[in-house]
Order: sequence, then structure tokens, then C-alpha cells
Amino acid sequence: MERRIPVKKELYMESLQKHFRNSPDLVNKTFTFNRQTIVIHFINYQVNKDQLERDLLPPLTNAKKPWTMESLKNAIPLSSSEEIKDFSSLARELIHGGVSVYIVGYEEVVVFTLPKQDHRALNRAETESLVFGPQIAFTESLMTNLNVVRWRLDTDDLTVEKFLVGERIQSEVRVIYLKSLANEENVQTMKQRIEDIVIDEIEDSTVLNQLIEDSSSTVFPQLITTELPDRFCNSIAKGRVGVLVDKSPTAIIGPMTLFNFFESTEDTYMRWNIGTFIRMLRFLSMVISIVLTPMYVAALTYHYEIIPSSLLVSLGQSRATVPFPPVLEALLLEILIELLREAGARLPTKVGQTMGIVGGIVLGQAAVQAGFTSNILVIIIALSALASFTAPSYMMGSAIRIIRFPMIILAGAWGLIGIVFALSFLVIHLLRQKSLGRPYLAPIYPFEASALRGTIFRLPFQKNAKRPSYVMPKDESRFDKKRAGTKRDRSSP
Amino acid sequence: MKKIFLVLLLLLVCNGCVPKSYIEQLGIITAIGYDQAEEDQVKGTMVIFQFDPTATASSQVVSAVADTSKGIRFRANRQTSHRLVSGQVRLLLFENKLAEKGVMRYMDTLSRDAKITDMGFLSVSDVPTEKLLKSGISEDAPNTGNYIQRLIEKSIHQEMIPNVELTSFIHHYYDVGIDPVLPLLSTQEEKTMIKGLALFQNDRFVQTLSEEDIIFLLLLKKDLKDAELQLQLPNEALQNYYKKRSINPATDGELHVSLNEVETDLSIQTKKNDPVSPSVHLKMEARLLEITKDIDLKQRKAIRKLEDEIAKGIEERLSLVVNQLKEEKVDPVGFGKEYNEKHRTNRITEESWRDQISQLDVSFDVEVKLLRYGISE
Amino acid sequence: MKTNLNVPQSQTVQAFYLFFIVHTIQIGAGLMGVPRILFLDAQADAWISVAIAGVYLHFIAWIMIKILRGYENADILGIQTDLFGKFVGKTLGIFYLLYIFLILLSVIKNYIEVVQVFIFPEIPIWLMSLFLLSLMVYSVTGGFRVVVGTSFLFFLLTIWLVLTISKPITYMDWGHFTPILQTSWTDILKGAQRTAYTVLGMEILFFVYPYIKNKKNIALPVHLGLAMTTFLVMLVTVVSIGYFSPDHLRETVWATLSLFKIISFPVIERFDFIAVALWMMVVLPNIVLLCWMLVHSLKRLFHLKEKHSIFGVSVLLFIGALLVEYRMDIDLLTEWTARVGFWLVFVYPIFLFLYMKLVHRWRRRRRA
Repeated sequence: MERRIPVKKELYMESLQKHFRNSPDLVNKTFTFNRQTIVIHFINYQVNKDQLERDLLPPLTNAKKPWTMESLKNAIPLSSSEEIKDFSSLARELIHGGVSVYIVGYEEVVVFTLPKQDHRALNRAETESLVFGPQIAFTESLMTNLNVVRWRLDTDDLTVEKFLVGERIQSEVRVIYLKSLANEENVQTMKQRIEDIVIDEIEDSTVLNQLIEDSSSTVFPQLITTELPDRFCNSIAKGRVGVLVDKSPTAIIGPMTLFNFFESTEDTYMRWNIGTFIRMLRFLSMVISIVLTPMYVAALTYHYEIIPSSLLVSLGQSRATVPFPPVLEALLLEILIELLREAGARLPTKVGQTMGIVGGIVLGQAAVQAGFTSNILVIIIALSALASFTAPSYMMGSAIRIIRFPMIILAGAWGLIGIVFALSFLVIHLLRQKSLGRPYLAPIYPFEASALRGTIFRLPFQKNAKRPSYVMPKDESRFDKKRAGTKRDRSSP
Repeated sequence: MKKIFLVLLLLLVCNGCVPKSYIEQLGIITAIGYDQAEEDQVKGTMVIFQFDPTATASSQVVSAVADTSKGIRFRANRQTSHRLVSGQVRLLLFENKLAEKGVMRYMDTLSRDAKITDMGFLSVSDVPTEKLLKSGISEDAPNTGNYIQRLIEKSIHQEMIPNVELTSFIHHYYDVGIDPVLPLLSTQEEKTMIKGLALFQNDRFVQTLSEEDIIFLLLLKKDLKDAELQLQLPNEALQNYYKKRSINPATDGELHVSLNEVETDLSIQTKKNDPVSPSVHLKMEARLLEITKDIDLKQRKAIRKLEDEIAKGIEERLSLVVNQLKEEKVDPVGFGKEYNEKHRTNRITEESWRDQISQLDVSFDVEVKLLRYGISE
Repeated sequence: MKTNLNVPQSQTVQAFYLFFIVHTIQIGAGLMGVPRILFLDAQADAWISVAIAGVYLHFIAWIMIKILRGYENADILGIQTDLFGKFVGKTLGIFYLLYIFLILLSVIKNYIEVVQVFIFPEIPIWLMSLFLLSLMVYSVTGGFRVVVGTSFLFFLLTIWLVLTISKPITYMDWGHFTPILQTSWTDILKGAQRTAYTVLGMEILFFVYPYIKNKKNIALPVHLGLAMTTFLVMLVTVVSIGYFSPDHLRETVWATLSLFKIISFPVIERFDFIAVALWMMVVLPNIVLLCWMLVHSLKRLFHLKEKHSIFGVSVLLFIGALLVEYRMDIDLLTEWTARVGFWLVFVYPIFLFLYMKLVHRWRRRRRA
């Protein structure tokens, strides 16, 4: 049932006032000239006043002859003019920064959109900090973000589709992909999942992300959320599907595999050998982070046999004063580290640094001296915490830190058997995961040798002429490998 | 479904725990010594690591008398507040009196126990092992057991004694036609040293091979890579090649040669149907480290002569060693094993070989090459 | 029951994975103790037994592939009903079921036994079986692709254990092998027969065939997988014979795992503990693939729902694992499995092949 716009002036004004519950911010102005009465409405803070007074009011009031709907739409030099018959859409337009122009006697209203939006300018990335490479991050404004994406992906192949999500409060969502490259099934899955969302409102793109992910019970993220336009655009250029949400500075990309979460854009900007080394380092640090503390717990609780004789004395003596079993000791320290991290994240930057010093040095040192923990464990925990922070994706880092806890408990309960059980469980768990319906462990399983070059390693670009096929791009070839490999330098005279 | 799983998991954590062995509650045995006690009993001495917050020294030595080797641990457990465990045993010592009766019954429980490493070292001692392990001198090692372990490890590494890990002892014990050997420890001014090599008949200690002879037994046992060797040659063997203008008139005194970087290539040939007359062919390359007479090393002939003399000297020493083995009816070289590996007929058995050893007639053929002579000629 | 299966594209895998499927289902519990078992029969010439068994494996695989190529997209259950009629076919299918259940049980029991001997003498059997079974259920409920992935990934995660064998190799005594052929040929052949338990599982080819995408290329990965198995069995047998003295090897039940006892790294003194624990990852693909075979057959034979049969099978296995208690019983179980497996896997396909040829010729003639 559409409510029509009342024709009578008093009724019109009254019903608008009523709709906005006599909001003091609803400004109305009535002009009468050329034997015509015109009422304009707008919401005080939603409208760009400068533009209103410069571009709309002067031509409106200086007219020589009476306005008609047609002339109103065409003679005012503003691009966004819309004729509205429906009362509720009129109200919505007003909220979005519209200025309604009502000519008494007409059944329609013309709305000019002169929105005023205050948001921050493009800034440096905060959560995904880089040493070098492009530094800008997405902002909260969808239009700005789209602008950046369009600017980076300079092709008319770029397709942007609009969705509205949220039943009570709606958010604008854009699905972005390259028409000629992105796999249709992937795009369909992504669109379908966004359309299928039933929720009153989404707070942020990260919420949307959780709503469209394949499995919500796992700790592993299945779609990458990033605030880096370069990462977003590079992924789209590989044939993936991106999602931008209004009011959110994080973009979503899919399908992703586990190994993509350990890629940083920086690997791409670095020389290939150094990039590969750093990427390997990250994989190694993931293993260290997961296995090191449980191994300590297992060795000291059950398998004293596997401790090398040279370490035995120092390990034993450091443990001698500790009143708790190793599991508890390790859990306590792990929680301590988590506390530090959390406190550091909540506090303002300057205080946060002090926090690190207090926690790291004072607490650690005091804990050891008080016989609260063994100093070797402090090293191990610090090392594995450090290792977990090397994951370029904050989500993945958190996932790894979380799975350490059950690992430690299992190691404390059944030693090496517990650890191997946990690792096996983890592997099978990862095998079962999917990202947008695509296997999560690609290119290891399903195995694809050529994709290892760009995913696990970072081989020279000339060698990496194929797009990874687990993304299922429509065109796997990036460039002609043969031509790319030759440099036709001018020979010296 | 998931809830059931979680509850199950929780139940597991609560109920399914296995007995824990916290490292700080353990007395970790690193070395065990077995001594002969009265009436067929054994006295075991154990070096243990135990970690008390207050104690400065982390190792302790405990002794107990019992009938079996596991009984020792059981008894000794009453003497300490820590639970004694044997998963880190790296050294097993046997007193000579005990070793003469056979060591396998102590070893057997060890090799059967999956918790015990195969890499531990074995040794025989001619002083009570208790005294050995309780002596305080251990250089920079945390305890005497550890010191002995390092001593043996180093000696094996430098090819001064054969490999005496538990695994190779058991290997040689079980193999037909070869007997195991172990280092023989003794004390000198309270400090432990390797005195010689204990020769075994099966698992019974029968005779000692003196320290100087060890290297010659080693020459027969395996290819050496980087060993050292001292040899005394007939005094006047090289008198034709003394330096003409010698600075130090070294004409009298004995002629000693010292070789290092000794690399050997050993081959033992056996004749068909005749296990007792193997021939040993030994090729040796070495560096002349020291010679007590001033020989003119620029002459090719002098070198040749020296090489020949060394070869002859080695052959002599080898046959002396073999004679000693024959007397004791032991075969640590594995002549019998060598025969069995090559021939299908007239194969020897564990029993027959013991009697045949004394009939051994080994012929030696040693070739020596001196490749380097140090920095002066 | 239809002879040929309709498998959706999303459930199929590349022929390349057959290497891992065939290899990982063979290598598992059997490998832990195979050197001793062979040595008891074939003495120092056990390696010849392995070689003979290896060649025979390839022959059987060749026959199996021939049988499967006789049909479009069939598995053994379908083929049996096609050849022998519904009743006999189903009975034979049930026979397969029982046999697979037996290996599954013996694999689980053997691994638990090893863990008890090497790491935790006190760990309860029910707990260990729960560990293994929960992993099995978790993997098999993921579907065929997860099952294959398990086999593939766990292969990659454990194959490096082979490299650590290099340490025992330096301790080997090559003299233990000479003179060769001291053992009589009958004993060597008996040894080859004894290899059966270790290399059981290649019958999975009969079950996964419909799930392979490019069926033309199955021969190479299958034979490579078998060659890899033979190589590993050969490796541990040869190293064990060289490393242990004959009498010692006769007493060493899990010779392969005992080889790990002398391996140590600067940070890990006793590698055997790690190896035994990691062996769970070697055994797991075994269990998972066998369970998949069971579930698959139950679905084919009795139209049981996969979820139901998985839980049913694991409950039965759990009970079975608790009932078999003594070491002797485990040995008996293993031996029976080996015996049944030998006839079912290494002899039966030949008859099946000949019979199939006969039936097909007869049918063709009748049609003509």
C-alpha cells in the first residue's frame, strides 16, 4: 500500500511533520511568488547548505514564470532530481539528504539530493601495516571506496552490483568482480548468499562476512577481510569476487584458501626470493606457534625421555620451583600473553607501549623470580606468541592463537598422543572447510603444482603465468610466458 | 550432536588421563653401575638427576642391593623422595667380577624395555662401580656418570675404542662368530680413565686387552677414518737414512713412530671350508706425525723403507693381538662371522667356533703409505 | 543393485590420487612389524620375498584393472552380482564386508598395542580407540573427497619419516645378507605370502574405481603406488635385517619402530617417541579409507544411510577393540586377517577375472 502525497498544502506539511515526529531538524520553507506556493523541506544536518543556497534556492526563487513539474526537473542545474509520488520514499529521500520541492496543487514532489557527508579522508592502513607498497586504506564511505577501486582497476570489465541488506536498517552492499574473469558460479554463490541473508541490520562488513561464510562453527576465517585497496584489487584481478559494504572500511574477498591468509601484498612488492623466504617464515612460524608450547607441556608432563641430556638439568631446575603442573603453567602464561595483547589493543597507543614493557619485562621477570613459571617456558610462550603475530591476516592470527589452547590441554592430558590427535583433527577439519564452496586447502589439496608457485612460494612473475585454477577463473592464462621471459635489451654497440 | 561431542570430550579430559610423570618429581637415572654383592646378589649404584628448588647440586648417587636389576630400582626408590625412572639411562657400568659371570641378564631387561635408549654406553670397571660413580672428580660435567659418558663418547669419536653403544653390544652378542668388547675403566688418582678393552666370550668378561693394543684390534675390526697410532720399530732399522748434517745427533735411543690421520681399508679373506685360516689385507694411509730419529725424508727410498718397517711392525703387533685372542678363545674381530658371510659349506656355529678359535692361523698383509710428513722434511 | 554406479562429478577425484589411496591404505600397521614376520620364514633372504611379493602385487593390480575395464563404471559389488547373480553376489559382498571390518579392527588394535608398549603403558584401550574412531568418523562424514584428502595430506605429513632411516642404515651390517639364498625357495615363497598383511588394502581399487574422473590413466598411479609400497617394505626389511642380529630380530616384534630408537636430534633425544605418536598419522588414512569402503559397501548392499552406517561401524569397532584384550588375541586376529586377506585379495581376483572373461564371451556369443 503506497501512501500518496497529499495535494493540500496544510495536509502535506502536517503529515510530514507527523512522520518525523515533530523533529526540530525538519526545516520547511514556504515561498509564494508568481501566484504559486512552493514548499521546500529538508533535514537540517543532512543537507549541504552551501550547495542548497548556491545552486537550488536562487534559481528556484528567481523564476519568471510559474513552475511545473517538468520545468522544475529540467531547469534547475542539479543532476540529481527525482520525481516522487510515494510518501514513504519521500521520507527516505529526506533522510538521505534530499531537499523536497512541493508545488501546491501537484500530486508529486521533486526531490533534489544535496547530501552532506562528513567522513575521514583516505588514510594509512592501521591493522594491516606494511613496510612499503601502497599505503592507503579504505574508508567508511562506500563511494570513496568504490572510487578507489575504480581508479585502481582501470577497466570497463569491472562489474559492480548493488544489494541492500537488512530488514529494519538497510545497508548498501556492492559485489565487485571482473566480468570476463570471475567464475560465474563463485559470483552466483556470493550474490545468492548476500540475497539470502535474513537479518534486521548488519553492523559492519565483518558481520556480513560472518553471515556469508561457509561454516560459522570453525575458528578459521574463510573469506579475507582487508582494508587495503591494493590487496582487494589484486584479488579481483585474479578472478575473485569482492564485496564492499557502506559504512565499513573493510572489504571482503572470496574464495580464499588457507594459504592466502599467509600472503601479504608486501611479498608481491618484494623481490621474489626475499618474498618467498618471508612467506616460508610465516608458515614455519605458524607451525612453531601451534606446536612448541604443547611439546613443552608434553615433554615435561610425560615424556622426559625425549629431552636432550644437555637440556635436562636446566629444564628440570627451572621447573623445580614451579608449584603448578606444566599444563596449568603454560595456560597461565598463554592467558597472560592474551591479556597483554588485549590490553594493548584497548589502550591508546602511547599507553599501549608502556603496557608492553610492563607486561613483557616486569611481569615475565617477576613471574620467573617468584617461581611462578619456569624461564624456559617464558621464552617458549613469547616465541610462539610472536610467531602467531606474523600472520598477515589478523583473523588468522587470532585463529591460531585460539587453537593453541585446546592443543595445550590435550598435550597436558595425553602428551604426544594428544598433540598428534589434535594435529590430525586440525588437518581433517581444514580438509572439510570450504570457501564459497571451493576447497579451502587448495592448491595442496586438490593438488595443483602450478599454483604452488604463487601461493606457497613466490616465484618470479615471469614464471607465474597462470592464475591459480582453484579460483576457477574463466581465463587461466595471465600472459604469454614465452614473451614475458625474454628481455630484448638493445645490444651495446 | 555437537553438544554430545563436547560433553564426551570433557568427560575424556576428566577421566581418561594417564599417570603423569612430571619432570620435577622424577629422579632421572642417567647412569647405572652394577657391582657384585654377597650371595649372588647385585648392588646397583645409580646416578640420578633430581630437581629440588633448594639444592645446589642436581645430581645424586644412590645404591641398593637386590637380586635383579629391576629390583635395584625398586629398592632404591625407598631412598629418595623422587620417583626413579630409567628413560634417560646413558651409561651402564659393570664391575669386572660381575661381568665375568655374564652381563646379558642385566642387559636383556634393558633391551626389552622400550623406554630405554639403544644409544647408551656400556663399560666394565675393574674397581667397584660404586666407587667410580661416587668419586667427585668429573671435570665440568654435572656428575661422574656424565663425565664417563663423555669420556667414552669422545674416545669412540676419536677412534680410540670401538663403538660400545648398547645396540652394537647386543648386535655382536647375538651375531654368530663375533664377540663383543667393552672399554675397561679404572681409576687413577681418583679420576676415571680408560685402562684397556674388556674382551668378552659371549656375554662373559674374560680378559683385558691393554691400552696400547686397542688400536690394533680396531685395525682388524673396521675401516678407520682418522685415527692415531704409536709404534715402536727396531732401533737400527733406518740407520742408512739418517740425515747427514743432523742438528741433533739422535743416534741412540729407541725408534718410535707416531702416525695420525690414519685411514685404513680392511679386507679379510677366508678360504673355503677352512674357517680358521683367514688372511687379513690392510691398506693404510697416514701422516707421519713424529719420529724419534732424524731421518732424511727427502729420499724416496727412506720413505719406502720407513713404510715397510711400519708395515712389518704393525703386522707383528697384529699377530700378537690375535695370539692373545686365541689364548682366551675370544673373537672380537669376527673372523668366524666373516667366514659365515662368504661361505655356504662347513659353516661355523656359536659352539663350534669357540673351540676353533684357538686353531686360528691368520696371515697378515699390511701396506702402509705415508702421504704427508708435517711441515718439516 | 545396479552394476554401474552414477557418481556425481563433484564426488570424483583425479586418477593421480590413486597413488596415495593405494599406497596409504597399504602402509600402516603392518609395516611396523613386517621385518620380523618375514625374517621368521625367509631368514636373511626376506628381501627376496618382498621382491617377489612386489612383482606379484603388480600382477594382481593388472588383473584388477582388467576386471574393472570390463565394465563401464562398476565396483566389485556390482561386478559380483552381475557375474554370479544377486544372491551369490551379495554373499560375496558380505564376505568382503567382514574382511574389511577385520582389517580395520586389527589395524586399530595393533596401533593401540604399539602405543601401549612404546609410549603409554597405562593408556586405556577405550580412550585410544575413541581417538582413532572419532578422527575416522570426522573424516568419513566429510565425504569421499575429504577421505581422499586425508589419505593425500597424511601421506605428505608422514613420508619424511623415511628419511630418518638414514641413521640406522649407517649401523647396518651388510654381512647379514651374505651368502644370499641360504633359505629354501619354499621358505622364501612362504615369506612372500606373509607379506600379505602388510600390503593388504589394494582391493580398494575395486571400490573407488567409479569415483575416478579420468579412468584411462589409472594404471600408472596404481602401479607407482604399489611400487612405493614395495619400496618401503623392502627398505624397512633390508635395514632391519642389517641392523639387528638374526636372533635379535626374531625377538623384536616391531622392528621398524625399534629402528627409530637410535635416531636423535639436537632438540629431541628420543625420536622413537615422536615416530610412534606420528604413526597415528600413518595409520589414520588406513582406517579412514577402510571405513569408507565399509560405508560405501553397506550403502550399495543394503541401502543404509551413510551417517547411520558410519556410527554403526564405529560402535562395532569400539566394542571389538575392547573385547580383544590379550596380545595373543591381537596376533591371532592379525594372522586370521592376513590369511583371509591373502585369499581374497591375492588369489580371488584371478578367478574372478577368468570367470568374467568366460561369462562375457558366453554372453556375447548368445547375443550373436
